[in-house]
Amino acid sequence: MHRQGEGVEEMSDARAVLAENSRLSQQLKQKEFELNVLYDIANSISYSLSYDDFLRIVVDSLHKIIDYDVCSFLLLPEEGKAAKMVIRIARAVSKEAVDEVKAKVIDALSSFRDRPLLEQDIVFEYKGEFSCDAATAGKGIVSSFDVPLMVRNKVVGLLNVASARDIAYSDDEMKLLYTLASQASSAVERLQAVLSVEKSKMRVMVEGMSEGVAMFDENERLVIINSAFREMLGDNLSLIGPLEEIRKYRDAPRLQDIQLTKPFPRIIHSQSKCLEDETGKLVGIVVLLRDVSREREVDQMKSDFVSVVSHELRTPLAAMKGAVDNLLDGLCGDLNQIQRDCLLLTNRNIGRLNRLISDLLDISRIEAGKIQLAKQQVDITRVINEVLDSFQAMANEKNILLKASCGSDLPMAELDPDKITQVLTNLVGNSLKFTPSGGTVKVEACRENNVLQIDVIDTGVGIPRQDLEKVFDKFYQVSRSLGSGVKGTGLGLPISKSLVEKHGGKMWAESELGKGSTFRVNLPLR
Amino acid sequence: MDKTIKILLVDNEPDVASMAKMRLEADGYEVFTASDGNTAYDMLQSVVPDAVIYDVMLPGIGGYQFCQRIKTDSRYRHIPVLILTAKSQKEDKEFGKKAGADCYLTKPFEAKELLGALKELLADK
Repeated sequence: MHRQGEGVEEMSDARAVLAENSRLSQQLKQKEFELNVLYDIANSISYSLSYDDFLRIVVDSLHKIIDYDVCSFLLLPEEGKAAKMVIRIARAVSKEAVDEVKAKVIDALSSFRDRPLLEQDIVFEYKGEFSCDAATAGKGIVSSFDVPLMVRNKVVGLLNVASARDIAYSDDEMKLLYTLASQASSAVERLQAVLSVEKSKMRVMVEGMSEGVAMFDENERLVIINSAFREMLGDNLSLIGPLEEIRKYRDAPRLQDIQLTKPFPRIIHSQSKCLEDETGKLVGIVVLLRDVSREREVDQMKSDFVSVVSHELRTPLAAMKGAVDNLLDGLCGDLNQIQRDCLLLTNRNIGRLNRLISDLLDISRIEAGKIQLAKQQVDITRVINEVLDSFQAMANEKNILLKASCGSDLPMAELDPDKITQVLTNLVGNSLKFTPSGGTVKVEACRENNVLQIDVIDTGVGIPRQDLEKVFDKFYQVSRSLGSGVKGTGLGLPISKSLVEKHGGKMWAESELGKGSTFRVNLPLR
Repeated sequence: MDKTIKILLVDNEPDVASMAKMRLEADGYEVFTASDGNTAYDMLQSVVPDAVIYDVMLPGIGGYQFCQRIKTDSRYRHIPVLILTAKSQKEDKEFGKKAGADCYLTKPFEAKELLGALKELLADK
């Protein structure tokens, strides 16, 4: 049996324990919550790039943990940037209270500078507004505390928490604020260190390039320039042209050859490009320079070479042809049959040499990349008919039927008419050569989507399967030509194929031995 | 018959020149020859030809400059100029036209090509 009094004491002990447990559990929850907020803030901070972004995040999240009326931070001015103060008003406060906060913070920071900080030199950013209510009127700041913002042991700003109510900020709360501020600071320090390392890596890389590199920021200020650039243009940056000009070239770079005479003559090729961020905003301009003097020289030599060879080879031919033609036309007296035959043989071979020279020069120009297409709107049906007309006499002699079959809706195509005529002449000529008497040579043209399809079809001797690709090799000659046709140079098909490919098209052969061959050409219509 | 038509033929290749001269004389023209541009230009004054045939690869005043000089000289610009060349690219033809040449022939050429072109040029006069 127990006495009444003791039971009551025990009961109140138990209640006290319960109450204590409850309070501890509450504290634990609070701590957990604070840790979570800290963690979230830390995460968002690591992805921001600027100190004021960090601080904004801190300031925006702070109300979850600390009770305040006004929270603000002021960052001192640094190179190129004005001093910035962000003020967040969480609860109704008067204008006087806000002004008081501003004055306190500015004052506190002025002691860290040789010149006082003036309100007009600061850019202010407000989140929330002061209240004009009678309830808040006249009430100034009662509680406030500051947290200095340090980066690499230098004071760069101040974070302030203030209230018009009488709030005693606990040790824990103040510690939390210091933690947040130092997290922001160390994040900035780490970022600056990384940026510095990356910048110097890039500097080293850019410096080591043999091409000249210069980069300007969006305000046209020079950011990077390597010694190769300086060596090429010196300080004559104007030679690359005004930067506003370059700004117009967004999608493709602006290319330009610059002729220099000092210290020695050379040609510099410049490539200027605009740099944009993901949103398409201009962030800078980069200019690359390359000395192309040698390249241009070699190019010129190639052109000159082809001209000179052309002249040197054709001149003796012209002399020989002049002499033979004069003899054949009786200018030097009558000829007997044998003399005539010898001269005709000479003439034939002069012709052969001439064609060979033309083809060799063509191939040499193609391989040197010196063929330029003079594209125009071409009516392919007309071209095909012209080519067939030119072979009509030969076809009649050999008793071969020439036919053209062109779709009536063929559009005009953007082609070089001379080159396409050359290709078709080659193909039709070949077909005639390899088709026996009584056969047919047909040219078909039609449109398939964006492609112009031209086929030269003959009923000739055909091409063995293993040779279907080889026929496009240089000097490949099939020994099956019929009759005493004019001997080819072996270069016609490779030249034709290259010309078609230069137009962006394709050419290939299909054949059945003994039945005939089809040479097919695809040309793009767009 | 009218006075013989005078042709000034300018080519520094003697073989080509002698065969062309033979052909032109057989066709009734009086042919004067020069083997470089400067001499040829001087001969314009002494010979006063009815037409000039010249090769583009001439030493001295070569290329198309010779043609341009003739065409910008008030004394001679009326004289038709026929250019001979071993170059055959389309651009060369355009270039020749721009220099003011009245006609352009590629070597080696057929005799009838030369004679035909010449007749046409002289008829226009």
